[in-house]
Amino acid sequence: MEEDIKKYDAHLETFRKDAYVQGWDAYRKMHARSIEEPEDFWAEQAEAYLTWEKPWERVLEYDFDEARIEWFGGGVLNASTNCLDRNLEKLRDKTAYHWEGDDPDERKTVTYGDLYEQVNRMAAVLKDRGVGKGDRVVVYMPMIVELPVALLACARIGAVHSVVFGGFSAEALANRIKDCGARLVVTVDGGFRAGKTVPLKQNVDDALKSCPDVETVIVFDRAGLNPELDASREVWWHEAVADDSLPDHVPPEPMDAEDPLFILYTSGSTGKPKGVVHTHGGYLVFAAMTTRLTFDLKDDEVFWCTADIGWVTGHTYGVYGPLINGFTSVLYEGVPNHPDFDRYWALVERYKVAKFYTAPTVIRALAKEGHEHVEKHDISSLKLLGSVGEPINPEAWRWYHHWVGRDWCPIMDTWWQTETGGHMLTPLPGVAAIKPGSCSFPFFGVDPVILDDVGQEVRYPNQEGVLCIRKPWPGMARTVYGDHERFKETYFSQAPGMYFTGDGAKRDEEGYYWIIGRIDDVINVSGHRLGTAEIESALVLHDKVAEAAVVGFPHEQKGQGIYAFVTLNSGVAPSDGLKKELIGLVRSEIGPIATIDVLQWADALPKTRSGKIMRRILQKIAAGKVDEIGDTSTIADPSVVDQLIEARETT
Amino acid sequence: MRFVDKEGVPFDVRTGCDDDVPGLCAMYDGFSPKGKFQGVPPVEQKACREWIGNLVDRGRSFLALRGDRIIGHLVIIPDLDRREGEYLIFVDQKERNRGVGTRLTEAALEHARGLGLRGLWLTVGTYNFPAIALYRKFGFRFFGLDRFERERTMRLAVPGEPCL
Repeated sequence: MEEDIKKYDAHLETFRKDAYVQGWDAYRKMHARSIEEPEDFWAEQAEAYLTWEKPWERVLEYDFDEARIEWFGGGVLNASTNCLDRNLEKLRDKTAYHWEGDDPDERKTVTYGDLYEQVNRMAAVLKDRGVGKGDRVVVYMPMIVELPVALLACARIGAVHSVVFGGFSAEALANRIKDCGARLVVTVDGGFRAGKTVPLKQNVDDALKSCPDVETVIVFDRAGLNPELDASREVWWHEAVADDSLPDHVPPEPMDAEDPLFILYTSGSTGKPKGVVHTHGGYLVFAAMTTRLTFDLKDDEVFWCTADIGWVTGHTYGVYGPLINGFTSVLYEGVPNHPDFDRYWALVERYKVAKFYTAPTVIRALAKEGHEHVEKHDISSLKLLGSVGEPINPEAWRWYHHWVGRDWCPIMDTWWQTETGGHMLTPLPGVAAIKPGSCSFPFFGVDPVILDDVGQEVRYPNQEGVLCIRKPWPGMARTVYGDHERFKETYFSQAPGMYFTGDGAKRDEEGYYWIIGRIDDVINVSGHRLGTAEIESALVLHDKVAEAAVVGFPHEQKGQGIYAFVTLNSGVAPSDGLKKELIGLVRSEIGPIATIDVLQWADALPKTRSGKIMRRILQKIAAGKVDEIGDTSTIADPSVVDQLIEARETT
Repeated sequence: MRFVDKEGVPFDVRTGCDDDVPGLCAMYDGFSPKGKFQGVPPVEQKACREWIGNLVDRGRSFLALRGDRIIGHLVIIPDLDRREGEYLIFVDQKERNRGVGTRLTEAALEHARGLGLRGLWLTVGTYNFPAIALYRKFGFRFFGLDRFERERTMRLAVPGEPCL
């Protein structure tokens, strides 16, 4: 137990000397100032990190009761300018991305100048196809250079991009296209993954059958699959940008600080995934500042955030954060284990990556295969590591720290959410010792509080509760697309005057924060959020299914796995074939990330007489903790529990 | 019985019966959010209707109405062996914080006393603060050692009866 909470500080002496934030006192002072004098503090940051076309008139105005938040009101800027134009003067020839394909022999260096040219050409194409300020564009692409190009092209003309992770199904893609009313989709013919070709355009074709409002589809030729394009609305990327009648450069659209920049769909505990909206000023300054400070990135260092740009991590730490700062990043198309489990370390060696940011699920998968893979390469360029997506178990942390960090690199274990835009609780390398599994302390501007079961602040160290944030921070989401009521209800109606994170947490006697896990019906599978409600809705679509309840359970690789209890209509016999069908149904409704790990037939679910489902009992059964089930007196028919426990044995 | 809410607008409270099922369906159709409170009200319409029918069958319903429109529904499902009843309440989202729930709870306690029940209980999501605050206002308190579970039980002793 002592070993688990051992503090690691081998890195401190070095980082304290030249980090952006040096030492504990400096951190405390700066953090206190950011909370007590937010307007002055953030005005300075906005000035330092961003280029504004017109200065703001007010730094901050907000009303948490109405969930209205305005940062830098009156200010005008453009995201694409901040990432590209203003970097051209000094960084035109600096590498923006070292891109490497799924195939190790495919590599490309993209400079800020290259990016600028490509973004402008695509911006001209979008404009030519009728896309204007405020229009939504859905992007469904693998990790190729054209992906950030598409995003920045949208930002250049003021269009709102919505990236859909390539792992989502046609159905999920269609839902998102319709929900945000997108007029244009940017995609590829196919992608490469572990040596295999994935015909991504087929998903788009299927999705578009129910999306008549999409006027244009731009298809990048990645895989040479040469599909037949529908000439009425589909064009090849390479043909579109080669059109000489289009201008080489498009002036950036002046955007208000609170104009939407992007929509990212994320799962909640009820209903369908919601379109979280991020705007310009606040998000961009928060992205830039957290990128620079959390990773302590210096101008000559190479940064690699392995997250797919389809997730918020890829938006903030794969695109906007690094580019605003003029940093060099690695962009990798493939997976960690192709051709072998040393692929990541080969990339670290090749590009001399200094700062590396990945997910616990990846670390666990690589640790399982053995440290020999790490030792095949010279990873001495690594100075700092990061972890994101879910709390990291101490075992994985220690493997990462020892074999990748060489017992020295500090691990920035960052806690944040799609809704927060950037890091909320995180270590900083020059500030304090780190503890395996702890996300350390709040970032600047973040005022966290842990509430107990009656909504009061916890009084004792290590007392568990739900994490809430007391004040607005610049990077926070502003609304749910088309449903502000839902935004208000989900995040601002649970704890009045605060942002409700939905994550359980505790703070130890030294003030270090520890995230425990979601307190609602959202599960975290390989660092990806899924709502149990959406999986249940998918199962219930099947005409043989009467009811379904889904819970997460501890999974060695994924962190949490998906456990489904399914009640069939009376008279229907359970079978392995039906199981496969149901698992396939969920995959086609949502995507492969929603692959059910265990499906148990349940004659009935444990409910109270009024019909309320006792999920805690299902969670205990799923986790194999049948002796911890506790009080079942609230259940209308306690024998249901015995039946479920018995059935678990044979599932 | 007629009451006046905190904003001075009148509403009625009476017991419910089978004839009220359509009115209840109408109330729950417009209710939001569905499914959040341990799966109820059910998201899917057919399941919702079945659930409403079940509640009306198994328990005693108390309704708050403005004219013909049902704006609040409280159900007590008694367990006469244990001499306790499960308590379930939904108030239309536009009618909350106006004293409707308090009046419904008073009517329910009256009924519980009449049945000889010693207490009422409910389950609630552990960090569902608005609901917990409301239940505490009615007199419910946490019960049991389930502090760290996702659902917790709250109990309310029926006044005039010995403590549980």
